[in-house]
Amino acid sequence: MKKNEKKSRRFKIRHPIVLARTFLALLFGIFMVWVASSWYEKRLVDEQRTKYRDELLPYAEGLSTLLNERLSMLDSMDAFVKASMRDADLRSRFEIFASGLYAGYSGIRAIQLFPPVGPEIVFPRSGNEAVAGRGLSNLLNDERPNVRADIEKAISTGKAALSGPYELRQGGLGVIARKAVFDRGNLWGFVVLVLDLPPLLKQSGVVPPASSGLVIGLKDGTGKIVAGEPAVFEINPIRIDIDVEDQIWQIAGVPSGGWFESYSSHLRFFWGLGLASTIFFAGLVFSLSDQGARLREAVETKTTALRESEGQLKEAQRLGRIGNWNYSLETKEVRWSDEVYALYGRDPTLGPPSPEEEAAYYSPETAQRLRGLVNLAIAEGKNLAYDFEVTLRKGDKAFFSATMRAAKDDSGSFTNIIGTVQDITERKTAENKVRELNEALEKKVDERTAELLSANKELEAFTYSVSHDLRAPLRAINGFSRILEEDFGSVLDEEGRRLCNVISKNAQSMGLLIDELLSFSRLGRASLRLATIDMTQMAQSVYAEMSTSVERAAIDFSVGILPVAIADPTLIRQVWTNLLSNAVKFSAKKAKAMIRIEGVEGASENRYSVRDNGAGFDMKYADKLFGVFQRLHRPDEFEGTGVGLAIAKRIVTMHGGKIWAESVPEEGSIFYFTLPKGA
Amino acid sequence: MSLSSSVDLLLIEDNPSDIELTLRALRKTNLLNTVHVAKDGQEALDYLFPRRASGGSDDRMLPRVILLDLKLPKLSGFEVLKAIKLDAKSKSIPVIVFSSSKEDGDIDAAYALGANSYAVKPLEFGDFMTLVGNLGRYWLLLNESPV
Repeated sequence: MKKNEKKSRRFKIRHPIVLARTFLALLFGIFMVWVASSWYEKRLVDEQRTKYRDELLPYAEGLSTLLNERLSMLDSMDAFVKASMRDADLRSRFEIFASGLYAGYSGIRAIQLFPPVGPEIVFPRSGNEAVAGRGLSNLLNDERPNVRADIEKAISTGKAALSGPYELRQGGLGVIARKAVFDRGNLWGFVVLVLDLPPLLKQSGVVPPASSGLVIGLKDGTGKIVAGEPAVFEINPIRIDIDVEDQIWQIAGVPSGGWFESYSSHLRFFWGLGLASTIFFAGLVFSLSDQGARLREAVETKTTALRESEGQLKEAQRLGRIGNWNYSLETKEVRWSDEVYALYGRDPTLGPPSPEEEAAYYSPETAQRLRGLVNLAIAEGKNLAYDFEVTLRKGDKAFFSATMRAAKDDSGSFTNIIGTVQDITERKTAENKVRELNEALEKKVDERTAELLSANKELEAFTYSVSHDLRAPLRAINGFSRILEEDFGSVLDEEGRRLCNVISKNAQSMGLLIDELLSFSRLGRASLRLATIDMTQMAQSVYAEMSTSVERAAIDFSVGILPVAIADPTLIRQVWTNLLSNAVKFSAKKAKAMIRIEGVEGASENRYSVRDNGAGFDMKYADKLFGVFQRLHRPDEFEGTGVGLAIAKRIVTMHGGKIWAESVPEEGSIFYFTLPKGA
Repeated sequence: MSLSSSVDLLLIEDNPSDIELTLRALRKTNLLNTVHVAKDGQEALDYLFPRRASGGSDDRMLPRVILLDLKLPKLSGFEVLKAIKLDAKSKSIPVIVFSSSKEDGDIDAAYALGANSYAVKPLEFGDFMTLVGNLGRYWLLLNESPV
């Protein structure tokens, strides 16, 4: 049992549907994590971009301010020149003005003035020797086409024109801003400002970047990368445009570790979380699915078992012709099991009969009794068993044996009456038949008994007649033959007197016969009056009673120690009398007569025997010995009526014992009889 | 001895042989003074209760002793016995039931009805003579009858 459970459990884990569901849940989870992470990554990128833009912006603005602050000096220079262009000491005064500017601002490489005539003024001289010594014409005719274009642009717009940044001729990366100076609408000269870019870039924190988290690149107005890390532009940088005079520069920045690095920790955490959730989710799906599968399997097993037991119940009900029913006290609804419908011969689709329909099944008395039983079941809460009769649809009567019980709910109040119904028609029919047979039998017995009683009565009357009426004529025969002898003895001769004597003797012996016959027939009606008998004493006293002193002198008589008997003393005395008188009678003619009485105690019965050494009898007549009027000797040999042994046998048999005899002619006989110990 | 008695013994017996034998025995014992014989039960009652038969007066002569056989035509010996013992006057007369029956039932029934003695008729002639002689001697000579 245990082993099977384990086996099925393992099987359930490998159940393909469960695995497929788990796998799908896993895939779905991964997909969701992927979708969510893509969305999250985008958000992270946006976040990072905003963050880094905010970080980059001050640097860009700083650089813009630094540059434009310095470039605005050109306007001051232009104004100064316009005011002083007629002064003879313009050169010295400009140098003083320039030195003031130079001292006030960092990052200035050179401040130049190209007057209409003469060489240009350069401040400071040192470091700018490479560009010194030229004049306005040289400037206007610069050999570099881009410089020439910038100069023409400055002349045509009247505004500052910016060149570069590029490698200055005097060395280093710089930008050159030029502005034409007009005198009453005619070109007078140029003011030029040369700025050293690296110090400004450094001051503004652009190159090298002041923030370690940023990598920055710089493009000039033409899109040429002039400073910083050129690769920055390749990796989707944050771009901030700054106005530098007539140009638009671009500062680009990326996180120093790249974009991915900037948010990867968040994303990894998110992935970890997502993956863990996915695994948890898949586990949940597996567990639920597995549990569901197991539950389903358990339900299936239980359902099968339930169906089986339902089937068995149904079969048992069908075989036992027993059904069950339920009556709800709340809804008043009655439910029958299939077998109840079968018993009532009712179509199950009809449902149990309505109160109106019940009248067809039950007699009014039965219906009332059944209602009373329901009330009793509720009132007493006991199990009730009862029988009732039902009329089936075909009009047949059926007998049902039923039980009923009120069922309680948890709160102890009655909610239902439940019960069983069993068809006992066959049993009832059989019982009725048995009863009828018994009644018939009893009637017959009564009839027979009456017949027997009347027959007995007739027999009694007959016996009475015999005892009374048969004796009277005998008495007459005997009496008158004797009177004849007495009164007319002198008239009769010897032969006449002898004949009178024969008549008288025969009448007497017939009287004896009648007496014995009567006592034999009386035995059949006697009831036993049991007492404990000392058999030794009884045998002796009987012997003394029925023998004469002459006989006793001639007979060698002895009595052993006989077991006591529990029997009717009067009747047993008769047995002894009959047996002993026979023994005396048949041994009387022997010279040395002998009678022995002995007894043997047995397990369940005692045996008594009377042995003599008299005439005996032939064993082939043994079965006739105990018959009524059966004699084995002729009257002239031994007297007797042939009833004595029949009476003895009847008495012994009445006590439940047996009597039999063994004999050898002329040697003697032994008569045995037994009596049960408890008789 | 009652002076009013004209009859000493009433013999109620139907069998003529038994009547003859009984009378012979009584005669042999010299007791055959005044014996009346009734040959059936009805005759016996008519003798004992003549008013019922003829409507006469009640100065009847009752016997001193009754010898009653049981098996009688018309009315049985028991019925006769019952009638005798129910009547205030006759109930004191000694009734000797003298029957061939040795049945316990007969003996018990006779005494229950008030019989004063029960004797079984012997079959043998000599015994019969002796018994009747003894009965006669005892009940007629030795026994004192009620006054």
